[in-house]
Amino acid sequence: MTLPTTQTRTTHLLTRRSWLSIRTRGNALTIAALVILAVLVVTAVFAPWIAPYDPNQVSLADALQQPSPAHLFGTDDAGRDVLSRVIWGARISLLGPLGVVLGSTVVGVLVGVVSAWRGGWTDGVLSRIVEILFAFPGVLLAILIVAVLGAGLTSTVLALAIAYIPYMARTTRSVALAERDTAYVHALEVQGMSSWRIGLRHLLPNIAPFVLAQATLCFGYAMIDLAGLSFLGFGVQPPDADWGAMVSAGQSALIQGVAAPALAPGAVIVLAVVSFSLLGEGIAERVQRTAR
Amino acid sequence: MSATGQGVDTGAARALRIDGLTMDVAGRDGEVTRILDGVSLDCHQGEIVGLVGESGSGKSMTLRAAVALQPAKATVAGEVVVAGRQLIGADARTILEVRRSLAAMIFQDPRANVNPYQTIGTFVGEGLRVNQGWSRPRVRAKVLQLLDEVGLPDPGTVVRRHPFELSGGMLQRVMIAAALAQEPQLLLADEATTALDVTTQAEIMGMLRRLRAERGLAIVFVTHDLDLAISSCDRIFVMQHGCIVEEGTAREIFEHPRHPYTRRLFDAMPSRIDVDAPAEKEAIA
Amino acid sequence: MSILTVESLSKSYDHGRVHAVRDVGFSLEPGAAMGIVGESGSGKTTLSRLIVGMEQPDAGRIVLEGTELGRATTRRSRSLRASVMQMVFQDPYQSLDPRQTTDGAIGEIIALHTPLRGAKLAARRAEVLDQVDLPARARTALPRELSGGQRQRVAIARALAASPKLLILDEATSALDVSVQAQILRLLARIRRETGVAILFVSHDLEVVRSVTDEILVMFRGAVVERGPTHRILTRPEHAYTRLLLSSVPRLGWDPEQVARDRREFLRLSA
Repeated sequence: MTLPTTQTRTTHLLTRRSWLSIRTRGNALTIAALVILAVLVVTAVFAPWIAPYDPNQVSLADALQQPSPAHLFGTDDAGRDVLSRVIWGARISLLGPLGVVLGSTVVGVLVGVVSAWRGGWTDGVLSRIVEILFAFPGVLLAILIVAVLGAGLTSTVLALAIAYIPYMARTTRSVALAERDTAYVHALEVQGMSSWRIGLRHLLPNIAPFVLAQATLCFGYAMIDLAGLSFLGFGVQPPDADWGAMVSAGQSALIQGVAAPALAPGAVIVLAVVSFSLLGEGIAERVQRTAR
Repeated sequence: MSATGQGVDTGAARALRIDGLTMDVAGRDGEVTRILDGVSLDCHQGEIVGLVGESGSGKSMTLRAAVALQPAKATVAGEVVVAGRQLIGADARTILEVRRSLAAMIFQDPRANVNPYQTIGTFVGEGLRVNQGWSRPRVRAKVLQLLDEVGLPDPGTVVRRHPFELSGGMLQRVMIAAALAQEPQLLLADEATTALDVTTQAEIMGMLRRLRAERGLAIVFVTHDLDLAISSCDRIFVMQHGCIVEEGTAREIFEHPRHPYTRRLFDAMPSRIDVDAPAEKEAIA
Repeated sequence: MSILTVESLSKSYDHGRVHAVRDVGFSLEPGAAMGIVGESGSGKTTLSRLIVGMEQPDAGRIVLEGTELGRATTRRSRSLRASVMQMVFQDPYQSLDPRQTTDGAIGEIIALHTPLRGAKLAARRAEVLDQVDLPARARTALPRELSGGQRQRVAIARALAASPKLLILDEATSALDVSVQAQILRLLARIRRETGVAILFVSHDLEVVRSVTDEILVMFRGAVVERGPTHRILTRPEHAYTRLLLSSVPRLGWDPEQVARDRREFLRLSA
């Protein structure tokens, strides 16, 4: 006859042993988001087997066809099958944001944790640098880097990775600050454990769920920003397809009354970004609820 | 004669009567836990009753039932009567009446229960202004009187202060003042001195005893500290695992505790414990 | 040679406005047990943090087994401290890494302080966990599956795993139920008998300190107001504040109103 203890069983997310098994019971939206993203990833991976046509096969005779049983999303102004281009485009469109998130997370987390741990003037200096980075819009940075390195996926990914560092750094720092002051961290310091060891093996794993939530949200934003940069012509160059570039290229078709070449990739972008946002929010909410 | 040297008039009205209270709570997976099992206790006007137990004993839940603050998912059975009003199955109006003017509750952490943006004066007088519609000057006079009654020095300055400017002990006095504002018959204290220094605790207990004598207040004092209950309460109920295991006057509990749990609790008190004596084999907690 | 000697230790905050610790000095012999008692604001927690190296003093010396500890928090001084003294904190719900099992946590500490590995490490770990009477089931559990008392046992085991000569307990039983606290106090007494470790017990509760110490230091507003053998302090206190503390302990036939009057008088005199 004991008082019911607070839930302890559902948060595998927080244990070392089952890091990846996310039990998403209870939130239909998060599950839906996860399913959609899984479909997109599968599509990207198995593109060569799923796509009905070669995405770069030009056939001017078939240009600008409306959707039909032969071409589910119709064809674009060069006669290429839009569906196949969307399917193949998933690869670049998902890889790009991944690069951005990885880059900004690695640097941002390092900066955030060091800032929180050392405090004092280290924190002061790093925080000022982060604030300066905040002031740079991703687009501006992209223009600068493209001017130096030329257009392409690498340039835009690099630019956005740098632009996103302050977001990851800020989240990480505030969570790390709170964690740094807990009794177990102090206990380990008193044990004489080195700061690096405490940081890597104890602090980081405990703040990882928060970082993951933020990173997932950033993935969505990165996707939009990359699509935007591609739309402006800074990203992947033709004939390679990523969804943003496809939207840009599809504008002329739109004017001629054929909507699919612009709408199809646009819709998928929206679907993917919304799903990432929902997933990120779902994770963040789970983490909040189960935080000690 | 109670331990406090005051005869308790058991002919006095009972401010609180709990009879056979049972509380079940359904967990997430549908399994039902019995938190309280046939709890019965009472408290007369002008009496301090101690409810002693460790964590998980159900003592806080019992107190909350007295103001219908049990968790929404809990099913309760039995009788909870505050100043003649039946609380189990009562309508919203009765519950409100009990909470506003018949019973008042103070908690362990005063800082968590007070609005940090309000001044002390606003906080203490809020109930009077909003519920009773008193005029500002009348409220102010009453607030000053209450703050003086709970032993706060210089009430005129304190009314203008904010919670962060006061120490824990002073803030707890403010909470008591706010609780007394609407002249309740019953005061429920849930571990009200646990977070305070021992000297501050002594002062608060002295103040509660004075209030009991001056106002004829009925006080139910929940604590995990058996010695504190023995020193300050007239009667004591000991709880374990949702049941009352022993009941008696403070002196009776002190001189011959009967139930094995009471005896174990008694022997475990820091003032009495002998760390070198071999202890009976008990579950490692 | 004493385990720990503290001389003229001082620490203030807020640009010298708050004197947390004022000119405190004492000496602790090997195997001795000393209690530091005070209410909130007495400086006892700051003192324990200074000794353990979590804060740096403004003035004074801390001498550990004959070696004076440097002011800087270098890795060397931290290692030296860690091998001689360990600390158990107040909050059992925060003092363990929530993602580590008991075995994992203790094993890591043993690996940190000794060259033992593999089977020898496992044996030492079992030895330490036996010392604190931790049941087998609790050894593979995560902190959230353990009760408060069990977590404190793990915290004590973690402190003992480094084979320290001095164990500092900062309100280590305040957050526990009374009966659990009694078990932990008995455990501490037993460990002291078995290993000869010295104990520094910081607490606001005179009675708790009474049960495990030979000597008591009473602190008020950063300074030591009285010191002496435990029994003498509790039966023949000399300083007015100690008398006030003692009369504040609840017991049958108590007069709390008198305590309030005594306190006002004491504060008036000491102002």
